[in-house]
Amino acid sequence: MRILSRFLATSFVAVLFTAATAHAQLFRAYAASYGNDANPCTVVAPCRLLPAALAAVHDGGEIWLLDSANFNSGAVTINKNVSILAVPGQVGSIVAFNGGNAININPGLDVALKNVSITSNATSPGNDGIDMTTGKLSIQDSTISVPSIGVYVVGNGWLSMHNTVIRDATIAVFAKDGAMADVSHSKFINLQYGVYVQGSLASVTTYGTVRDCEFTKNVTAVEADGVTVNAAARLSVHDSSISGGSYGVVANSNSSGASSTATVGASTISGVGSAALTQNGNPSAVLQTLGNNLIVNNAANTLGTITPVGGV
Amino acid sequence: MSMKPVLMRASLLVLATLFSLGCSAQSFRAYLASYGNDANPCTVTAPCRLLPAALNAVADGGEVWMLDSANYNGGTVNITKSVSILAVPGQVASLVAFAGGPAINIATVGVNVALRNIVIPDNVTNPGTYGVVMTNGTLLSVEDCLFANLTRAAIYVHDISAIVTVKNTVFRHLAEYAVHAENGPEVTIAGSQILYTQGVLSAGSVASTTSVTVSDSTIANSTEGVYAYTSIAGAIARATLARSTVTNTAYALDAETASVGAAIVYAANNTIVGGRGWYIGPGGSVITYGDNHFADTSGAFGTMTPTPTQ
Repeated sequence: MRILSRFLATSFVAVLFTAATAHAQLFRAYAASYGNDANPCTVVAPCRLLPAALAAVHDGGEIWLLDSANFNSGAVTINKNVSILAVPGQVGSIVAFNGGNAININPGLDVALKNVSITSNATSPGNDGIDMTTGKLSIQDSTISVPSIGVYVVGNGWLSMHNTVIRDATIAVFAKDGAMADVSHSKFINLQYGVYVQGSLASVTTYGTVRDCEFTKNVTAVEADGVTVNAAARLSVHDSSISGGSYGVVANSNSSGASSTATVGASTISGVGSAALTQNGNPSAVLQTLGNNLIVNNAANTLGTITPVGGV
Repeated sequence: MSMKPVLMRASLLVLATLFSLGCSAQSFRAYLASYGNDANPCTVTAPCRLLPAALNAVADGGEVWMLDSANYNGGTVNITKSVSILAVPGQVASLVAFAGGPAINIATVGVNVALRNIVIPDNVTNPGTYGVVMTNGTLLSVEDCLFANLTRAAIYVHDISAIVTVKNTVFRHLAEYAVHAENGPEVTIAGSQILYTQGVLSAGSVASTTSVTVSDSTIANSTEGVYAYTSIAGAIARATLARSTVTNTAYALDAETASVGAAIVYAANNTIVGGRGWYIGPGGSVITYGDNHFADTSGAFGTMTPTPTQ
């Protein structure tokens, strides 16, 4: 009876969610380790790899990864609005290998990733985790570990990242040329840079916001860096903890006329090998403190000019 | 010594009676699964398939457990009794808004409803409207849920004095508000993410008091952060933002009226980056407690009212 019941039920589900039209795209496509890309990507006949599910899902729809497995065999290009998630209790892996990125997102899309693991293939290493130019990206409950950049957001791209771990990369989050990166409740471990906000396009401001995050053993935890004349980089760090590594919060400007501002409040910085708060370069680099940080046990607590600011 | 087995058997009999109570009795807990069937009694060994069947099977005040990851509705689900609906840990249940309707409708006096570990998206191939519409009832609790890609607000609660609590929930890519509370509700949102939406609205269009509080949350890339608005005399709309981050949002703090009623926004210990910061229209006020940090906001309108903390 149980088998019959399951058969009838799954048949019902299949009818409910796929039979609207035989070849219509799905509002939700499924992938599983036991799937096959010749399948229609339904819950009873899931596909195997992410590209097949992306082809099957309707613009704006969802992809559910039903069990723990790897779901790509090359760089995945996302070319429609989509939410991709592994169901709770499982984790979906997307690997960067052979010098490529794990995921490339075409411009102007709304994309969400939840409960995925993005890593590099150790036997054939890849490059970045996710590259995005413009668009809106949400990352939640995920882990990223790649050789180069975890999440690279360029242009008018908006990133919201929450409860995610990025470790063992060159740069965890790299925002530039007008991007807006908002990061909360996440961990950054063993990186050259945790959150790096670069002003490299004239007359354009690039933003980074960090809240409730932990940075451990990174060469530089967070940095606002103005590198081009008339370009600006803005970074705010709150309720966060930075320990180990060389630099905590940095405002840097190597080019005259390129501005950078980093503001830190309600945060703890300790055990940093060079300086906890660094203002470097010309005066258009500004490092602001809200006066409520705990900064102790660093080789130097401050380097350069620190500007106290108040709240409103 | 010889009595023990007898007592045990008697106890088992009592338990069996307690939990079966005949074939047609409503159960304290009904079960759903992807392999269920609505002709089943919605027990753990014979679960139902869709939520309406489980709601019929469960007693007022009972629970519905969803046993595996699947979608559990075929249209708008009307909840007419007090019930807790949850997907068991390690799974996630989806309730989809489609065919021009909301995913969930709550319109029964006095009901208490809880939702936990549920995904509520839109069916893009046959779009719906809201996630949850509540026009009656006493309490709605939303925990560990996700609302995404809806064409209207995720939670629309109006014309009742219900209490709505939202915790650890994600709202993203919504065409309207994450929460739209109007004419009487009291809403608290904590530890949540509000991304790519119109923000959170506390509104009054009849003489009433509506309150929305957002704390320890992130609002990003939205058109509003918290927005209080009234359009009739006697209406009071309050919106509070505390210990939260608002980024790249046109107006993080917005209070205005149609020159009638009172719209008040309270802000404490927030980080607000980008956008215009605040907007204070006719009849509106924004009260700050001196510990908010605004970075790179420009184009704010009106003057905020500083108030000492206590």
